[in-house]
Amino acid sequence: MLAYLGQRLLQALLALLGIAVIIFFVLHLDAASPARAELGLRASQKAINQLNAELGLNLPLPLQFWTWLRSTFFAPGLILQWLRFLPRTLELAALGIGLAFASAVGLASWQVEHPNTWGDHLLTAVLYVLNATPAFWLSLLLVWELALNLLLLPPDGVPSATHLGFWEWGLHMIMPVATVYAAAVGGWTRYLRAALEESMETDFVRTARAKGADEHRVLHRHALRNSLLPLLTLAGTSFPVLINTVIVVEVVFFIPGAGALFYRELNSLNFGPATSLAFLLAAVGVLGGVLADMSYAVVDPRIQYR
Amino acid sequence: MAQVATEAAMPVITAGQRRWRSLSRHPLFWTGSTLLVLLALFSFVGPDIYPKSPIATHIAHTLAPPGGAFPLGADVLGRNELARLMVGGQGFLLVGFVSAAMASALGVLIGLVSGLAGGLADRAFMWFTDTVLGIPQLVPLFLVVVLFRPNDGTMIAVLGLTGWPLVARLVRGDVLSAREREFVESARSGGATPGRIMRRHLLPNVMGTVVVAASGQVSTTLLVLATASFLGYGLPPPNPNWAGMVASSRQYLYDNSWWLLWLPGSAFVLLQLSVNFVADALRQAFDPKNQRGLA
Repeated sequence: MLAYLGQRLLQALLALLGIAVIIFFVLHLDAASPARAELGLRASQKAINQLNAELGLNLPLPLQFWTWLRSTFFAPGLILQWLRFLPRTLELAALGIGLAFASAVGLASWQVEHPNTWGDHLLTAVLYVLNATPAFWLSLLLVWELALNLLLLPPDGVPSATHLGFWEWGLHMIMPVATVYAAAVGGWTRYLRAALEESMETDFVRTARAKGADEHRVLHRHALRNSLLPLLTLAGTSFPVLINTVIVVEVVFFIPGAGALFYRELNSLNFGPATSLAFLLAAVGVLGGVLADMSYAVVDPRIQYR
Repeated sequence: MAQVATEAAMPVITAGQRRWRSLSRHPLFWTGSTLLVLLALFSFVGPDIYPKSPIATHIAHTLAPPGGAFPLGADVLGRNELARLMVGGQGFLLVGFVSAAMASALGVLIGLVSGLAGGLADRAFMWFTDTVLGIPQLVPLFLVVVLFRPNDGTMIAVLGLTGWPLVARLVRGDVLSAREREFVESARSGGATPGRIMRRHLLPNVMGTVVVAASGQVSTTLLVLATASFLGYGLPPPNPNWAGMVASSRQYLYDNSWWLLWLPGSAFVLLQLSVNFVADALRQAFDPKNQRGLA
């Protein structure tokens, strides 16, 4: 298990290195512009060369990459700053995704136990619509209806500097978490439902029935465990996609997390902080995938990581 | 598939016919594709039938509610909401579908090559795939839009170049299982080149996966494009787009101008619904394991 964890983390680290290279590459596509931005369009080639030399832009690419990497990720104070806004992003993502996963399991099991009832059909329709609803729109609808019309909830997420009691924190988190939740729950429930129905037809489920287990036990003890594996795979690969959602939710609800700050730094053309935040967001996505892989071992007793 | 039919020496229906039969009986397929055609007509033919400018301003009619000269109301600059809704779908239908097609084609190519090559090359390809998969698509899109002047072409390029990993993984998985089967073995022993094996033997066999993955890619791409456009880093002005319209309605939520918030958002949901309907019908038609469920 530990060795597998090490291997998987190494894989993640390699992926993150690749991501750093790609981000650097995208920035570097525009390598001529710092000098142009500084000196204007009519600057002489000599002046441009001189400034490039001062900025280190004429060094070999690998060396530039190393300099950039060092200054972007290992600058003193940066780690502290990361630690300050990362918790916002993580609590939002973890709550939304965790709730979506749990209720996908609950809803799909219920649907398989009550097939073709009106509740089943209604739920399917609702999930279809939720799945088609983009987070940016849903969040505004929630703000409009719940915060502005009904005055039930505060229109923003958790403000940064203030310390809120648990109750107040919860009130501020309802709409942001609900938006992230809605982005994931529709697709996951439909997927798990199909997988469950497939599992219910397999030989081991027939065996379980034959030995006298009742349907409820068959579904929860046997079929569900088997069907959770493909759902975990899906959840693992959809982490980066959900980070997109987290970014937009943080922006709409003014939550000072990594996503909203990335957006703000980008808007003010601060590429240094923007790229390090972009990397941080990617890292959250990649590590989420690792987490999903690790939970395989818990769900599937056949898998033994060595 | 032709060989299979002659071997069986019976007028059996081919896999393609079976799939089409399953598809043509699927209510979701017809609902989805009809809706899609209607949305395309609304976006591309609509402006000819209702030739009002989507960007002309009428300050006297600021935030005019639906009715009269403004059937679906006007925005804060008095611009005709119906005309804007029509033009606002064009970017998604064009950029969304073209970049999804590009991402899928790239994914198929990388998946095929990786699965067929195996060994170290496969590992390298999959490392690259996981790397690109790990990047939230908004991030490179934002960086490119900030650095360059965005137009439809750059949007398509970025979404196409970043959207392929899921398709590649699915196709590779299929190729890995297909390439161990007898028909590939026999082609190889008959001296077929890897390129020929890929085109003639593997591609037809993974076609089902490709269609399913590509149709799923459309809704993912549309969502990323819309989210970026909402945040101001997507489809460029001056032409309106549904997500950008939702974004600008945000400032007038207090004015109770519900049409500015509800109409463009609903239009996008309809587009996503129709795409998902067609994708689910295709998934069921192409994947024998998924015959039930989902509907």
